[in-house]
Amino acid sequence: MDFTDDEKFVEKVRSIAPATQQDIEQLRELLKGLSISTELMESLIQPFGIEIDFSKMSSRVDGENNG
Amino acid sequence: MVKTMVESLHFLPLSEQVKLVHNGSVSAVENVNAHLNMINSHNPKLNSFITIDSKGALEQAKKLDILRSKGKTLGPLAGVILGIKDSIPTKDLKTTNNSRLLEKWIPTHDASVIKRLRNAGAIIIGKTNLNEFGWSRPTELDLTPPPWSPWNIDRMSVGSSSGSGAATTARMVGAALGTDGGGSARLPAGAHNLYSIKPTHGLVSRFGMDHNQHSEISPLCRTAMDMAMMLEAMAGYEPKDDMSWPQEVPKYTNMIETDISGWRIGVPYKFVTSAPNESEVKEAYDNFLHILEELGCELVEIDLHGMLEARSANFIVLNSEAYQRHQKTLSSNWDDYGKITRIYLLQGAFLSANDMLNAAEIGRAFKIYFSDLLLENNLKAIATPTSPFATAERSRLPQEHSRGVNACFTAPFNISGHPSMNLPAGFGESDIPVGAMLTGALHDDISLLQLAFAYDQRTNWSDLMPELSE
Repeated sequence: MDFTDDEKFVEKVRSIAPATQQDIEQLRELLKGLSISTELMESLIQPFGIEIDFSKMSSRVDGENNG
Repeated sequence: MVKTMVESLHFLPLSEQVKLVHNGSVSAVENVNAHLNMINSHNPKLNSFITIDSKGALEQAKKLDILRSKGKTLGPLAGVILGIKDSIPTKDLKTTNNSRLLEKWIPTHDASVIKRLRNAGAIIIGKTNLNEFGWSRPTELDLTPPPWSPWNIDRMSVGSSSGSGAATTARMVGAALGTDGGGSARLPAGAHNLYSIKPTHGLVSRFGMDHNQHSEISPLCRTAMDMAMMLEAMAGYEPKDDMSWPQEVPKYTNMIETDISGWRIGVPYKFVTSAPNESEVKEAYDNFLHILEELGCELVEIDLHGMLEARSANFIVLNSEAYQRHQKTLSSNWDDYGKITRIYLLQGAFLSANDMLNAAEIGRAFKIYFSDLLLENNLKAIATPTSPFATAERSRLPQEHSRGVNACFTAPFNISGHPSMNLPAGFGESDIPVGAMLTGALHDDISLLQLAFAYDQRTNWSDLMPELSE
């Protein structure tokens, strides 16, 4: 997921829909949240042959792990 | 005597209304009229419905009454008055999704679940309000503006199945259908003092609706027995649906009453207390646990991991699916969408196939982890609040909504597919109800219903109704 390149980002949005500048700014804000989620997913995927171990994952709502 | 009964018919639980229709004490037409009176009196203020089908409901009722007069066997939901979330297609009845895009859409088919409910004798009286496409934050500019809570007319109803929650609470229907992709039925059930079960994935088919891997059709009901009756009618194998489970549906209503003493309930206290719970939520949750203990359940403190990761995975899948469905019309009909809705829907355009597959894999891993957690600790369910917030206003603050904190307890169990249920648990300071949640093992929906029934017998939440002024 990449929306950091402003020019490409605006180009992509406008290729999909006639979004206004305000729409684009709102979308950019929302995508920050989604980007955190996709990066988190990537970080959890394990190398071939290793299981994903949920017992080592976060224990708090904010994503921290207090054991 | 009969007149009094008919006048108060809509105040009775759905299960009692069915008995009266079955034994002929009241007719299905009388039941429809009792509920139409409530709709006419209260919907103008509450805005629970998008479409009211008085004529269609009366026609359905007349057919039932004729069947009864001929001595035919009536279905288990004969004469029950239902509201259906306006995202679920109903034949010959407008299904707008509360969007200008579908403002005039009249489906030529019933979704599978609607067919089942009609076959059971249920009467559909109208289509209930929702956030546009069940996804956006509601605004006054929506096709139909948001519903108001019958418990406090100054407060918006929590969504996305907001109209279903409000209509059931205000006795405009006996029960209603919602859909739950991240908490959209359990959250409004909690905020309306209702019971609602998000069934095990595949138990209730979504066939005839838009494809969505983790959103389950869920009943919103006033009592635990009502919930069991609804689920029994809704559940069942649908061969055309690749997500439907080929299993026989248990007779929930026959099995619902059981001794739950000794049942072990997991309490993930560390996780629960890490949420930004409002004080009313904390109080209601503690009281909920106390009642479970009084019922003989053994509370077992457990560590629960990965809820944020599972919620994030669900969030990605929801976004991806939402965009996939709307990609064509976002391009061609941009101005027909609500200004917030179209931005929410567009997010998925920036997800890759790999993002989606990563999320699906994390979801599968969480499913296994949570199933093992229940099994290894010999737990019937885990208990959490339903939402950290007692007010729709807070859950709808853009920063809270976009982070999905309001769904921190609910959404993980959408991607895992485990059955999960809201139970009424108290009231906040603005008279807005607060819910508590039990989540159980895959395909063990019956244990949740049994817990709900015992809890409902022990508490008086389902006897309470809001004071509604005309």
